[in-house]
Amino acid sequence: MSSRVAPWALLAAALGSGCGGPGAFRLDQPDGELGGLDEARRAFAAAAPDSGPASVVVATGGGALVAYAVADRPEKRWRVPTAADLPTIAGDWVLTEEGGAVVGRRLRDGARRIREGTDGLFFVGADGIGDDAVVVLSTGTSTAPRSEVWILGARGVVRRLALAQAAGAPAWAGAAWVPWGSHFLSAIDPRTGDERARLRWDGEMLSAARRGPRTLWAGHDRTVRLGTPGEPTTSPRPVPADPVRAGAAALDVDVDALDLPVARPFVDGYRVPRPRGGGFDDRQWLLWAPGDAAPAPVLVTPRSAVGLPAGGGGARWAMPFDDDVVAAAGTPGGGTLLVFRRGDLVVVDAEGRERARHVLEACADGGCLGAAFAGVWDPPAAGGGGGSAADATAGLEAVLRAPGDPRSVAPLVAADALRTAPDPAATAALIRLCEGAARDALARSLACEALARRTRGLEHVTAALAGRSDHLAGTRAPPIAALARAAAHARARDAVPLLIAKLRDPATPSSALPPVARALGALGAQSAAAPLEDFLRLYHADAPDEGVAEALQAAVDALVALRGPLVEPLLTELVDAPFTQSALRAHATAALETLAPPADGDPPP
Amino acid sequence: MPRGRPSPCRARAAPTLAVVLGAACALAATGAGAQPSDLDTDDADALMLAIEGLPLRPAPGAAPALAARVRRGLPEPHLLAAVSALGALGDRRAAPVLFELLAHRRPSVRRLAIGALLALRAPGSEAAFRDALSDRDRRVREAALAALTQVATPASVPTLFAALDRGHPAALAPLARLVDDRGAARILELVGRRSLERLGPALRLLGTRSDLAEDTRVAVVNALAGLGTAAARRWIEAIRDALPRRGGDALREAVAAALGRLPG
Repeated sequence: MSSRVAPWALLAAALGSGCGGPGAFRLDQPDGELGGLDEARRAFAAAAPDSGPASVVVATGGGALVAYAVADRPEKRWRVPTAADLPTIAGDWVLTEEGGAVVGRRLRDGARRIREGTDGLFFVGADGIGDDAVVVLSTGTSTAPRSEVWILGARGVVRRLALAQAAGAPAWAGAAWVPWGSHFLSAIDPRTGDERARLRWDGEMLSAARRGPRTLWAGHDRTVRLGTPGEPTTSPRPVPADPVRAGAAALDVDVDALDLPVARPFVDGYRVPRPRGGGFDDRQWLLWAPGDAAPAPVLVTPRSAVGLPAGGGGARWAMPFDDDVVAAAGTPGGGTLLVFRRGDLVVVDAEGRERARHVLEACADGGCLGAAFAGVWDPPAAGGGGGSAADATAGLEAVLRAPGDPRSVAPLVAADALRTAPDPAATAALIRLCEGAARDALARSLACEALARRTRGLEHVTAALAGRSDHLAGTRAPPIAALARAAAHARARDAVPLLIAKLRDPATPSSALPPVARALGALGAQSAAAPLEDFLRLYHADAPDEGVAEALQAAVDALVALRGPLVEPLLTELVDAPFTQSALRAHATAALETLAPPADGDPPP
Repeated sequence: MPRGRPSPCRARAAPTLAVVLGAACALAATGAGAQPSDLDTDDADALMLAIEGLPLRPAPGAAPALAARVRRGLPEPHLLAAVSALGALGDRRAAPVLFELLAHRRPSVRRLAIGALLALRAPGSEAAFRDALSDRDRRVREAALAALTQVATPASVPTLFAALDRGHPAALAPLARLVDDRGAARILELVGRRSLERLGPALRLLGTRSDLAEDTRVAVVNALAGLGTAAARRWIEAIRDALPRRGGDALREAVAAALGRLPG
């Protein structure tokens, strides 16, 4: 989706000359005295193109920071001993946190240029071009937030700005673009420290900025692309805003119950301020080519990568990994670079095909802790083969089959992608996952939920419903509850005889009986009325368990839906019968009260 | 009935025993039979007495009336008593509802329905018992196997072999009675892999079945002899003792040779 007017207002106005400096990041700065959107656009449009070294990877591991130049394969350029874990490249700087300080080294030779204490702040992010760079450190959104913005130049730290607010990952684009106070994006003049422009996210969170060619991306849950002058400011929704929330909403999952890091911003290069150490939340990325107006992003989690379509919804491709990803980056052509804990550097093209695999020797001992990329190269152009919808289905199934970290968003994204996939085989994949192929309980439940909302490949639903638990044959019951919900959701009338059989089959798990009864009611097949009545009569005085008790009430509702007022004699019979269970009697009584009298001409029951 | 002791009338019993127990308990409780019209009561105790009393002096319409009452739904104790009573009534008109109850969600009801159908020797029961061997409840499967042991025909052999493969050694007994020579060879493959305590009775039966080829029966004796144990010898002796006085020379020679080799 692309809208010409962002759903939030970007409020900006010209900042009077001479303001800024000590006044930067002032919360009491009135709107209307700030630099405008056009001025902001001109600033980053005028920024020099990134002239940094091409194709460099730095990796930490084995007590060292090692830089490689990459052309056809990685070639080691320099190595320095350090206990740092997650490096960041900003222009010609390699920044690491070491012993309560930020250490800055020169990218081309590893020479140490600065070592500055962090004063208890966390390294949030950095960006730069050549020697010029901006670094943000912050407490995050604590009760007493504070942050520092460092401007780096050829001589080291040339300016420090302090603010009593949380600040996010910055971008260097004609100015130092710093997100702060959860809603503001300010352009800081690196020469003076003056605040030259300010944009306010009205009603939305802002936590990170990212530089693209003649563009600037910024956002938190959603990311907005600020075009160059003359272009509209667009909201291309380059990402499914928050994959966790989006996926969970699509699946009707209570995301808070999943104990997932729901507020993760998924902006490349952004890190939520937290104690360092390679925590899981630092290792999920949403990558996209920053030059695209409507990019197709790639979601990378420690054990999987999923290529998402532009505009969200579904998946282009997916692949599981048997090793942890410790660093990932997007390439201008939509490809992905991955560094794994065991030291593999893998190049994946835009269609999700592995194009190259190298080994970083720095990670030979003890594995890679982290890595960063600069001037990254593109994988070779796709040469045909792969990338079909069927491959996406197989990849998504593989992602859900693999054991994963319960905090990963990959199962949510994969399950939702299978739910919406046009490939009919996705239904069969969801059935397999739901009935137990997925090793993790979360992945299984997500697959079942996705299956229940599937509208394509219904032939797989009916085929699966025809299966049953059979001790002699050694077969297990299919996921009847999810299949019944899928049949009802997709209005699959072909499934009615099979659902009736499931209602009668003692091998049907009790927990599946309520969805079966509801599906029979929803599908509106009159042939289901008699079996539902038989079920009600047989068990109205003796529900063996809670599932049957719930199914009895669902059967009442289904019959009301199927037969309307004509069901009154049966409900009256249930209410008046001497041994009817109290809950069922109450439910039937309530149902009776909702019935309208039969109209003249209704057929007899 | 002394206080503090459970009533055998409410105890869980084997399906066939339950049918008999139900009738006896009803007799003790009522001292007289019940009428089908007694089933139309809202009183739980009176209903129980009516169900249990029906088989004592079966009225012509007792089974259909009780079947109809079952279909209208009963609390669990009444349903269990009704199923037993339907078997005890001996009226095959009860078979349809009993077949329906083989799909009841309570395994106890399914078990009793198997016993009642066995009591009725209702047509179609053998196939129903075969289907019940696929039940997910072990006790239902065991009841079905026990019933099949009594009524199985060669049509049930594949299913019985499947049950044997799935861990139901009780299937050996009907199999030994029903298999042909090929089936016997399949049972012989189990010698040495299953305990002789389980296999022995089946092998003895195979070794004495005159409808099997003599080669097959010789193979049974040789398979036992191959075990080289005293227990195997005892089963070969059992075969020898059951042989007719005439015929079967090759089998007699095999028995004699085996007994000559095996420890006494």
